[in-house]
Amino acid sequence: MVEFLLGLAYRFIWHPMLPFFEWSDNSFVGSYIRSKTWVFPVIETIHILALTVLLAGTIVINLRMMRLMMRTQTISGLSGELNPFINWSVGIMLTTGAALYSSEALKCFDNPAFQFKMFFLFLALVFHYTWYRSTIKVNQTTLSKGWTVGVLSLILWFAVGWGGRGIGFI
Amino acid sequence: MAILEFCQWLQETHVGTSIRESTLLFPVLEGSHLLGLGVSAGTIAISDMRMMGLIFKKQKATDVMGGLLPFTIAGFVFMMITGALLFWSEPIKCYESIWFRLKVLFLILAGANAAIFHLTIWRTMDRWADQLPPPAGARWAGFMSLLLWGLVIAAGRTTAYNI
Repeated sequence: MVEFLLGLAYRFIWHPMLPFFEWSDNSFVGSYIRSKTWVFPVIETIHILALTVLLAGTIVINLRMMRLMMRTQTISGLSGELNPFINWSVGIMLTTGAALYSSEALKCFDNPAFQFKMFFLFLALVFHYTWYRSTIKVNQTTLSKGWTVGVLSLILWFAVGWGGRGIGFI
Repeated sequence: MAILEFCQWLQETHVGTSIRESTLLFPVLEGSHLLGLGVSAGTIAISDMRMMGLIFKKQKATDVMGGLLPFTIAGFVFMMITGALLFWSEPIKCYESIWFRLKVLFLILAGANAAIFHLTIWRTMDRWADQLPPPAGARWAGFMSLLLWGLVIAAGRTTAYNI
């Protein structure tokens, strides 16, 4: 059943994007990054520094929702302070990620780790900027809701992270 | 040359070889080391920004750091364990890499910065927990910490490339 759905997703969503991947691969950004050996490592380092901030921010908010950390602070207080850093990190990661991707777009197209990462990145971003966003605006939440939303957020972002690490290995 | 001999010995051990030649264990270790950054360096970054008076300004510095510290410590223990195992699997590569040597240097400097902070300004934190901006020593320690841990991460990432 899962394989059937994945097959559908590949046929109707992923494969039709091939022209975009080809365009990305031939783009100026992609060619420039490939032309100089030091550019990719620098961009990837920025990607990882931003990842550190993104994970830290979401982990603190999620552990607070799970009542495992910073219980003297309200959820909305924590999220109010951390959201600017989280949002900037997402922006930086999407920008640096797009640059890294365009330097090897066709390789990414065929890479199952990249497909896995994009699937979870899509879910993580949608979740983060809809249900999650309204949940973290409150001062307190029930333990069950805190755990549901918190654990879901952790799973989604960590899946993106693992997928990202897998790109280099596959 | 004692370090080199130690690395050569380490390289040939059963544990080191198993990790290095594994299909799953090395990727899982490396991925964990990377994702552990969020809890270790990430929580330190939040503390550092409070030390610089840039975040959680309405909360006492003692509350912010106190709330984060147990997780920061747990995070760093995790990073040291995964890092040691990764090193154990490729000690010669690491020994010969300028980037890894720089990473070790930055780690030592970051540790020294933390030690200086804890031996001096941290002892009086109760007195300046509400103060904005925080005293110069705290701001300086926070800035140096962010800089040095950022350099550790950059050097660590480059180690994977240019060995």
